[in-house]
Amino acid sequence: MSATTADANQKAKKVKRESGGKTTLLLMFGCLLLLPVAPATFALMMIYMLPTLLLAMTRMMRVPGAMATVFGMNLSGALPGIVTHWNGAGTFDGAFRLMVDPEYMLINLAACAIGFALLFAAPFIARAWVDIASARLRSRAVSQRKRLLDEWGDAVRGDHPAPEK
Amino acid sequence: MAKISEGPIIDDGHGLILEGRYLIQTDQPLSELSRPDAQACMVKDKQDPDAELFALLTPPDTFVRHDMVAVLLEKPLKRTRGPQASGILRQSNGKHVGAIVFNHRSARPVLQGTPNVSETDLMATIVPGLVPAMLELQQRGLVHRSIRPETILLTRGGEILLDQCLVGLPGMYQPPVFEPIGIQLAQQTGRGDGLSCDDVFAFAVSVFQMLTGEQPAKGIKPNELYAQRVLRGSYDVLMKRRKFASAIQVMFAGSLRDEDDRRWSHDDLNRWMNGIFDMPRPSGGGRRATRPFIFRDAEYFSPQLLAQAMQKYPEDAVALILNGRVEKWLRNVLVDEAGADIIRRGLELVTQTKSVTMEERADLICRSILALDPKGPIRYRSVNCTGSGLAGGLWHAFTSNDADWRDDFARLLGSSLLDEWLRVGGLAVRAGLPANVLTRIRAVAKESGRIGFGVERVLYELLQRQPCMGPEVMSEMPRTPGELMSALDRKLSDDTGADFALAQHSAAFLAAHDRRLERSLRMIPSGDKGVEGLIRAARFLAELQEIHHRIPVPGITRAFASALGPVTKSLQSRVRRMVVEKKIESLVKRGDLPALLAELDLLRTLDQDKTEFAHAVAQYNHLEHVIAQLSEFGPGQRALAMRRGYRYAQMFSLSVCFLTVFYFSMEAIL
Repeated sequence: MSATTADANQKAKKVKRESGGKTTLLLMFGCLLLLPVAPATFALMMIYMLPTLLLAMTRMMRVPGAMATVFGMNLSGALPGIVTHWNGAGTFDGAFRLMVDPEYMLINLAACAIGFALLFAAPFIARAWVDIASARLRSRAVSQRKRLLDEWGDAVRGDHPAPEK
Repeated sequence: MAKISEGPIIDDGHGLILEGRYLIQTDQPLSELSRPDAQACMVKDKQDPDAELFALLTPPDTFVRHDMVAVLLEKPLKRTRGPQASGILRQSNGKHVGAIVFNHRSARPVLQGTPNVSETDLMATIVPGLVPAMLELQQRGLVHRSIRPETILLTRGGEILLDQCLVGLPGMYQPPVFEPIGIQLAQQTGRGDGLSCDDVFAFAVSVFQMLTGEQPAKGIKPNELYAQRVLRGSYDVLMKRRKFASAIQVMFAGSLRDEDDRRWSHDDLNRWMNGIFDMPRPSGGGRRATRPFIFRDAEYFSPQLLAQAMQKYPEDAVALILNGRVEKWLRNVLVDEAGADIIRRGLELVTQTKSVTMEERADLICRSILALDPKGPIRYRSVNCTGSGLAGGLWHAFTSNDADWRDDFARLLGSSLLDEWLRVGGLAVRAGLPANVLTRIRAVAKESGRIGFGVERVLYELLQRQPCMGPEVMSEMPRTPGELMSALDRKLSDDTGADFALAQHSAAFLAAHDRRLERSLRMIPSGDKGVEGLIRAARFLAELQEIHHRIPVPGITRAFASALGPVTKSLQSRVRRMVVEKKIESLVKRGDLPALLAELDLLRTLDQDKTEFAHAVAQYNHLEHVIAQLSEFGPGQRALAMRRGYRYAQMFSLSVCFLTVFYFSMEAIL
């Protein structure tokens, strides 16, 4: 790899890291906004969104879109608890009750688990899809190559070896 | 008015008939009228069975003065054995010969059966017949160039005639003594048409032989004869103080003068015949120097003899020319500024370079000879011709297949020597090599590397009516572009293995005959045997067919199609190749070269094929690259799969999040 390419990669990583850091800061800032407005909801959110926060802080999974994937599923799992909290009295007691409520916690963790599972399974699913698409593309390219050979003869191959029949 | 028959005459079962009336009886040869270069045979005139006719059959390598034939056929002369018809015959064996029908078959030379004639007979019979015959020729602007006792004929009716002079190069068979001094040194084939007063000189020598019954200057070798003539004058050498009747003596003194411009003309001869004449002063030899020039330990007072010696010993001459002695002798002793300037210009060219090449030596020697003997023939290496004899010399160089001779001609024509000669050469050179002809010659000689130009073209520019001498068609003696095309077509039809190529001679012949073709000829790339050259040559022939030969030429078309074989095979596209081959196959049958070229448009097709092939190669390379990438699950694809997988997971997750938010929002609202 040339020095120029290496520099470019480093720059790209830096930009990504900076943008990832910004997202985390934005999330943190959003959450902190809740603190003076709805401190009970804030506390509940901090607990429910703990997997995302841990992920953001520790940067355990350095894969593109990991934060968004986990955040999306985490928030989906947290919403039933939060909505229940809002429908109730909205007090710290209610919030603490919901924090230890096994049903809501299970929903939340299950949603998070789906998020992480997605992150692990997605490349394998995508690869299967890419394989199918590649096979289709390859077959089209082979038939095009055959047409070229039929019209122009072996001279069109140049230094390439003759294709297998 | 008789015409030159077009196209070869073929025996259609009624014999070989010229002009629809002259039956050429090739099975009845006439040995007494035959010549080394032409066989004579009987001719029967269908309209006048009693006419005494015969024909001379000239093979392709015999020179015929076609210009003169045309003039004499247009308006025949009364006192000359003249042509009645002319054409090309295709004999039963397939060979072509030229045929010229002549009258006065039974006329015989005046000296046949008698050693000499008396002065009375001469003045009463021969001169009154001969001089008008010569006058007739001169009035047509023709020069006989073969007047000698054997060609002065006597008919059965006692009429004096001049024999034909159409077969053979002008003056070729004249003994040296019958030639004026300026022509004597020229090679036999390069003597040329000369001037009309050259006929007067030959007349005088012939009269001398007829009167004395002995060959003039008998026993004197040509070189010795030349030396004597230069030193003493032809009159003195030939007459040897012999005395004739004063009237005849006067004629000798006037007609045997060595200076062309002071020799008797035809009009003088006519006046003399009618008894009106002055006593001319015979010439006494050429220029003489007051101080000699020492060359090879010999003293030369005559520049003409010095020129002859220099031609004989060129190596010795070069040293003297280079050290400036010849120039000084000319300038200081002979007071010949023009001659000295010719040598000086040559020396200026040479002294610019350190070493003197063979070409420069030849140039210097030729310049010196020109300066010393400007009225003599030009002598350049093996070329030795008069001004009007260059054409004959060149013709002979081609028929003799002597490459050295041709090269010498090419070098001479490409040099400035002819211009120098024209400047100092006198009447004979100016008449034989007019300035406009010389300009034309120089122009075509300059482009010698191009097909249709060069020395071959010079030949046809000088001899416009001469049949094409290209080895491939010479046997058929084509005289016009149309006949040449027919001959080429026949040759290519008969010889299926023959290559399609435009030969240098054919191209030169065609361009000389039709200036319109010159443009197409210039388009043919010189020295290119590739596709473009082939197609340009075919275009040239197609134009020729359109202009001169509007009938099918299957032989040429087939040969062109065969030559196109490798070209069509070079087409990369199989489909295109198949289409072109089918087209060629169908068009060849029509024998229409212009249509073949127009429908194929081969250059464009080739160009298109080349471009498309380049695209196809690029496309193939791309496909190979794509197939190679898709055939294995490499890092690229792995990265692609990961990237897409994470993106889809992200999209799925955010979509679920959005739907959940949407669900609870709707629930809250509703």
